Amino acid sequence: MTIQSREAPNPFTVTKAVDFTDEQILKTFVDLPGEPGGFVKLINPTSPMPMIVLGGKGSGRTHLMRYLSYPLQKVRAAGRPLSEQLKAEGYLGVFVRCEGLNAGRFEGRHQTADVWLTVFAYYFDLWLAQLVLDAIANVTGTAWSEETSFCSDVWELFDLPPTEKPADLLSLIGVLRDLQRGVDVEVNNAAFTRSLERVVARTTRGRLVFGIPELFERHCEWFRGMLVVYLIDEFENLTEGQQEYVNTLLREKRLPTSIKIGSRRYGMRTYRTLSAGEENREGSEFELLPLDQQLRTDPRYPGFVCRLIARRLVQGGYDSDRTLEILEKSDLTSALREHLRGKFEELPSDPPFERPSTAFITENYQPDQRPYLLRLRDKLQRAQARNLAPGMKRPEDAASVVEALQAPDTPLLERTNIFLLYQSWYRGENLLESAAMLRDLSSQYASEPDPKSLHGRILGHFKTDLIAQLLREGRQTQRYLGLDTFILMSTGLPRALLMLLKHIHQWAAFNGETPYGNVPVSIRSQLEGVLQASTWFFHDVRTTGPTAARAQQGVDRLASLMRRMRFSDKPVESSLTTFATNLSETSTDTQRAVRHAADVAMLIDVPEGQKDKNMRGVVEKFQINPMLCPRYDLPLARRGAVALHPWEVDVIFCGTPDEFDGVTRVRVERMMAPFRRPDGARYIDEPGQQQNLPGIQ
Amino acid sequence: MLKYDIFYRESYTPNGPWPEAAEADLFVSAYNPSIRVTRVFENALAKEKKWLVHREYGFLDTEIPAGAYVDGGGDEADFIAGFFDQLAGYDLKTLSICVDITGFMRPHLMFLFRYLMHLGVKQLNVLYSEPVQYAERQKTTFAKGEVTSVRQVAGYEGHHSPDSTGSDLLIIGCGYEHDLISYVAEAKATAGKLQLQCFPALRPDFYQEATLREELATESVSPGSGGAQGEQLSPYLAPAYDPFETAAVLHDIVKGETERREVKNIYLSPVATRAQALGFALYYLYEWRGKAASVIYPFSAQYAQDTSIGLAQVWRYVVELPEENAIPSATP
Repeated sequence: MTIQSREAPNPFTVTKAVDFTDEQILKTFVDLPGEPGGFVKLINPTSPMPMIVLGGKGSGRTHLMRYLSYPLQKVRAAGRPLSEQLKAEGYLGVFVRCEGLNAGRFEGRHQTADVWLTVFAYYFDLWLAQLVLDAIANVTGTAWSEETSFCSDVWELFDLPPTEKPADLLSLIGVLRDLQRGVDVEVNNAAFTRSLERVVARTTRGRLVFGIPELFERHCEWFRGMLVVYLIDEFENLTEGQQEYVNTLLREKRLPTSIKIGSRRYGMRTYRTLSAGEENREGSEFELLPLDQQLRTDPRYPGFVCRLIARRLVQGGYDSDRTLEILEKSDLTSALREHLRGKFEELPSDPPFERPSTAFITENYQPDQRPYLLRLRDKLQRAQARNLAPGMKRPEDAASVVEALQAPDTPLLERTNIFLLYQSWYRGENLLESAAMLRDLSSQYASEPDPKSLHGRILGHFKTDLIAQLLREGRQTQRYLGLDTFILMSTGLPRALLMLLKHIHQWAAFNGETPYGNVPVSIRSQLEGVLQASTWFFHDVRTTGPTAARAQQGVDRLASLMRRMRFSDKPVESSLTTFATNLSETSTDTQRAVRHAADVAMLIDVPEGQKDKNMRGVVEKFQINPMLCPRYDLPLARRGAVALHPWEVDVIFCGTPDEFDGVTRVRVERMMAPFRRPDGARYIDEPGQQQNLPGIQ
Repeated sequence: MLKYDIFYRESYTPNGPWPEAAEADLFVSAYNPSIRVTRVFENALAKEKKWLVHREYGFLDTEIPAGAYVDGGGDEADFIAGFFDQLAGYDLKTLSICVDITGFMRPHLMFLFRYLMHLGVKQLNVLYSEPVQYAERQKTTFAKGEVTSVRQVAGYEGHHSPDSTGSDLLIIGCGYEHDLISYVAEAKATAGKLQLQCFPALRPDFYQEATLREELATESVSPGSGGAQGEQLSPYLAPAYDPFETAAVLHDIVKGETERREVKNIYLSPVATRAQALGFALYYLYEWRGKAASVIYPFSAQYAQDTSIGLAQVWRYVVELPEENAIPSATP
């Protein structure tokens, strides 16, 4: 659903760097809090060491690389001489979008890979040469005394110079464009001719790419000691062979040239080069900047995104008293964060019973009509009829058990009692006795809440899940509210946060609210917006190919399984969004799918791999991205992890629907009262069974 | 400017006699078991009829009509060129040709016209059959399985500018498949994007069904840096069954955009009806061949064999192709 509002322009409408003009890139660029130039220092454009910047969709990678490019340097100059601006920054940034190369046409058509590689390398060199010459022409202007001799020297870079020798930069660029056109014609006509014989590479590979910056340094005095930095973005658009060529350029780069490659994580198909098949290695040939991972763990991230929000609100006209503008400029972002927190309605925290968060139960249900009580009574009666309710013999026993667990004024305590009874049931304990004991312990806790008591410990671990169960049982939407929640959900992807705020704003406007005014955005609008953004994220991270399809299916199934486990009678771990497995024992297709899911940020690698007693080898852990959690009613925080056997992971990512149903059934049935197999036998966690069905860690 | 409305088109009811004007020396169609493809093939009056079979439909050997030309692998250029290699003895320039595009995959039908132009064919009859409805209404999926790549269509690859300022334009011909729209939009994320929707639709209810699905792709079709900042532009409209009107509307859209702002590269992507794809092809061949423009398409490994029910009517278009050496009329 798309909602438009004329009254309140949405300051978060544009969420992609590609949708911004150069001026807007500069206006919306926000730095990390603390020392100035935080982001620029991450990429370090004045370092000759090449860098590979890996960032998921929405990590801000393109925004950052464009910020470093010459058109933005020019905007930053703001009227001062360009040479001074570039000298101050120490480099000339040449931004290269691989998307524009349409690299997919450099294959097939009855040509060998070697032929295509030769053609592509020549084409890529011509492409980069035009871009760097465009920037040089722009920065030197019309009064560059060395222009003719520079063009003449560039001419000498050709092994087979084209017929005309250009006297100025525009003519030189025109010649290169004609050469590119010649290659285009031959490549495009290969569909008819099935031949590329007429493509003649007129330069040695890399000679234009490195030679032009060298000549510029030689001919331009003020440029000496500076760098030409090729900012090659959207690397994922190149095939493996094409990447090998660019990797070779990176390996063989020479001053005054440096190369920074930007790619999505899944997009680095190879680190191999054409230099005898050598691989580029981190620390040796390049530095690696995993941008979203870096932001996810950077303590400055919340402050940074608060600044981002403030900048959008200021530019959107939501800062009439200039409070945000002042707060945004402050080195300390805590005051800004607090100010922004107040823009979103939240339910007050009231530990340990959280009455405001659970008031919908007391408001909507009579004490003996609460859905979880009715359900428990029904389960007890059915189990008693099958002789599966330990200790229950008389017809009125079910009602007695339920009555003992009631705590009408404190639904959370009441729900905790139910949870504890299910645990007793699972252990095969006498349910009448358990209920009586829980009544006493519950009363004691109600009058004197001791965090070390049984109820205190359960609430310490499971409070979020128990409230989630109450919400579900009370037919309420799960709650994902407030600025801090949104920042947590975005997990190092600023665009995810912007999308959340965009959808929340749309719903607020639709619901007749005035977002970011004196009244906080309502809970209703936040919930609607979060759900919509979550669904957007699920579809947005998708890429092409069978591995991507398996990854998306697998994460969808995994999250569904975790939802079933979370809302079971006896969830065995709190805040379940993580699984652990020995990935090396899964199939190749599964490994690829899981890695791809992590590469596109559907899953997040949990760094601490560990040895598992029940499964051989090192266990890897993956968390479902919090952006996806609202779609599946899952919690945002990560606490426990379900250990999955490799065959289960195989089924989840690559199995048939029936196979997946089987895995779900086996996993969930043991968590549902009466905790018996279909044949009535108890589930017993015997060592032998653990081998086949790992438990919760 | 070329007046696309001078091209001739007419429609027939499926139960009437085969129109004399559509009789041909050579009738070509892409096999698909749907009634709107097979009935037209059966009824066609031609000295010679040829089936082509796309491997992407996944037919069993026993399902393929006798004598059909079967895709031997490779891309759309290999497929079409391979088919015409078999007709090496024919002088296509002198034959009357009739092509039913209904069963063709869109990239292959586009290359077919590019190749016929390359062979010097100047005019041919083209048929397109409308279904009564699509099999699963708005849930109909034509592409089956995942999209494997988004790339340029052979023969429609232009000469692009390396400029990185984001002043590109992508026009998506939108149909039922919102997924395809998203894939195309993502593949040219930098471009300003405009949507060309099918209206009037083949049948009145199709437009509503397609709109429901396009809504799902809205987030992907962001305006782009060349688009209107912060606004979702209203889609343009062209009839689903009229390639000539589609070409004319494309001409107007691009003219308007290029007058409004600098456009460095143009990308066109028809993912709706075959008639629309033909319109995109003609527009490209007449106005953008060899310039900074391309047709791109989201390719899938498999396509559903039969997505339609019934045969409502048959359109005949008299398509004239430009000469290979003619200079396209547009200037980037």
